[in-house]
Parts: sequence; structure tokens; C-alpha cells
Amino acid sequence: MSAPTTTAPPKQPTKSDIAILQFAHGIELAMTALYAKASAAAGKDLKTVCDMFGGHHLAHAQSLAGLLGRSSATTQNASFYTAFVTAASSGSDTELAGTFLSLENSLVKTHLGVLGTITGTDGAQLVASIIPVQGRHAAVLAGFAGKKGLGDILDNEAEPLDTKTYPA
Amino acid sequence: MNANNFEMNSPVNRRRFFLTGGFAIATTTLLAACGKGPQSPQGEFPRIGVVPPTTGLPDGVPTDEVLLRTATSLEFNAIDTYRKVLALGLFTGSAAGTAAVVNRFKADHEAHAKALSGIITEAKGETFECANEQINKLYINPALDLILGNKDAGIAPSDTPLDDVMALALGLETLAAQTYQFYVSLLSQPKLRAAAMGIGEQESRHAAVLAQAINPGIAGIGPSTNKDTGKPNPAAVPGPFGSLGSIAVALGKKSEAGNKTTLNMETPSLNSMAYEYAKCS
Repeated sequence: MSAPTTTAPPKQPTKSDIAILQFAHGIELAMTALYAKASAAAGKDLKTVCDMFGGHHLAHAQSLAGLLGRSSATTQNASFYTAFVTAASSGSDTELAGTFLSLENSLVKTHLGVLGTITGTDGAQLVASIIPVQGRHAAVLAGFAGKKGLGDILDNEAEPLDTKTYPA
Repeated sequence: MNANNFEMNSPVNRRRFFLTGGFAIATTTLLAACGKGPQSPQGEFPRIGVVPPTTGLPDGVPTDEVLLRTATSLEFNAIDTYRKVLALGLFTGSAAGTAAVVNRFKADHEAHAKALSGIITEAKGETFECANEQINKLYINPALDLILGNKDAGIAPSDTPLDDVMALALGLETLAAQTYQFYVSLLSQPKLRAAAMGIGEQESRHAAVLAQAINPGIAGIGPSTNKDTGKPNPAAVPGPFGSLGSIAVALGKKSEAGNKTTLNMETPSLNSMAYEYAKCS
């Protein structure tokens, strides 16, 4: 294995980190809005879950904003929100949960991609604290989506979100 | 002559005697400590009795390789524990389905260990494919003693072994997930951080599944408190961010007051890492 580096990685996000974290921030803001839409359409138990998980995404967005400061995204990712707002605000509870299961899995993959790219340790630690929670969200939503198999809960075959498909 | 046997006008009065005597003792001690005479050939402090020689451990540096080796060792802790738990024969009757979950988790940990060893080998490092002794000593062995009992230590077996096995599994999965999250701050390369968290995220899902099995339904999703004990209930999603705090696991036979013994687990730190000099025995 390579010898330990003598140069410590930067703490603060670098210039290239900022662009990547801005994308993640915009997606988190959009997820907050999508969960608010779902909360209005969901039954009692799923509404409780949507409110809780939406609150978590808001906390993630706020933490990313705190990290990025004046460089943070000013609005949610509009193309991502538009792509999913209909599915997130209509249908049965099972369908709604299925939509958000898919979105949470995509976000996990997206944040893993972010983590594998950014160099600043402050951003890495923040993103690393977000990923396990969104994985837990997915595990819970799988139950609401009627997925009974362990593979449906534990395996994540989703593709990460990218800036080409969802430009900020 | 007065009562002190010193003449008041004598140049050697009691005060002067103590001053002179004290100075002599201090000077002798200092010279003995600094001396390199025949009594202290290495210039060490003189000792009374025989002191067995000790060999210090080599210096350990928590490099990327060490962190990945430690993470691998934790995977083997989980694999070994699940193997022991499956051998207990607890998963029968209504708990029969749990065996499938435990087997799946064990298989996941085996895959994680293999993936980590692959990363280490690819980077020309030396793999560490056995359980972390320190984690066994500090957490897993005491936990199994509390569940199964230990006559020699005077520990009675648990009256709810299945519940305790589930609690221990939740504790171990949470510990593994937290370890990967913690190590992100120590790993130097972004691609290694992502690889680590890819595994840590799956351990989090394991923890969520176990929390729902222990505390099912909508009440078990978010954080809540046990009304009887005042302690946090297992939750599928305990908070908006992954915690790095200590993990409390209540195990064993209940005391007369109705409490189980609480074992506090923490992520492996500098004294529990699989350093490059450490070998599997």
C-alpha cells in the first residue's frame, strides 16, 4: 500500500468541491419540497414518515448550506423537482413509498459519488453522515412500498443523479 | 545548654543543623540520580529489586491501509458473532424467519470483508482476515457472557436470550456503520472514503431492519424513549445524521430492579486498530 501522505487533505471545500456540493444541496432542497407534496397526499402513517424524512432532508440541505456559505445553491434543483413532482404527489401510499424508495436509493448513490470526488474533509464528513440516514430511509420505505424481500430492502441498484440529466 | 542540646549562641544551632542536613540529602539524591557510576551503568535511576524487561510495541500510524485492515477485522467480528449466534439454535418457532436475516447479514459481511481485502491487495497492502481481538475482548465476549452466562465469572444466563441476541446484532451493525463513517475523516483518498461508506451504508440498512424487528411499526421508525427504563428505544432512523456517539446495548439477566447490564460500544480508535505489524493468530 502506498506510504502515508505527508500532505494532509484540505479541510474546507476546494473550488471543484464547491460545484459538486452545490448540486447535492440543490437536490436536497428539492427532496424537501417533494416530501412536502407527498405528505399532503399520503395516508396517516406514510404522512408521518414523509414529514420526518422531509425534515431530515431539510437538515441535510441546511448543513450543506452552512458548509458552502455564500457559495451554496440559492434554490432547489428545478429539473429534478419537475421530473418527480407528479409521482411524488399522487397515487396510493404503496406507489408513493415506491417513488421515494427509488429516490432515496438514487440519493445514496449520488452522495457516494460526491464523497468519491470531493477532497475537503469537512464536506466529506458531512456527506458521510448523510449517506447512512438516507440508506435507512430507503430500508423503511421498502416496507411501505410492499417490498418484503430482504434484497429489496438491502440492495441498491439505483443510478446516481447527475448534472447532465438534472442541471441546477 | 538548653533543652535542645544546642547552645543558643553556638554556630551549629538546630535550624542550621536541619538546613545543612537537608541540603546534604538533596545533593546526594541529585548526584545519585545523575551519576553514571558502577551502580547505574546506563545512567538510569537506581532501582531496588528486579524489574522484568519490557518490549514496547512498534509505532503505529493509522494509514489508509491500517484503517481498511481494521474495518476488515470488524467485518470478521460480525461474521464470527453471527456464526456463534446461529449455532445457539435460538431461531426456532416464530423466530425461524430471523435465521434467514442473520444468514443474509453474515453473507453481506463476508462480501464486505472480501471487498476490503481486494482494495488492500490492489494497493499492494497486506490483508488482515480475522476478527479484531480488542473488539472481542471489550464488547463481544462480555456480551456473549451476559447472554449465555459464565459460571466462572458468576454471570447467570439471560432470561431473554433471543431478545439479547437481536440487541447485540443491532449494536454490532451500528458499530460497523459508525466505524466507516468515522474513518471517512481519517482516510486520505476520496475513492477510499466512498468505498468505505458504500459498505457503511449497507450496515446502516442492516441496523434499520434489526431496529424494526425489535421495535416494529410506525412508533419504531423515529426516536422514542422507553417509559419504564427512560432509555432510547431502538429506532430505524434515530436522527437526521449518522451518529458517532457510543452505542448502549442492554443485555443479560434482569436485576431485581428490572434492569439489564448496559454495554457501551465505541468505534475502534488508535488502541484497537489492525496496525501493519499486527498479524492474525
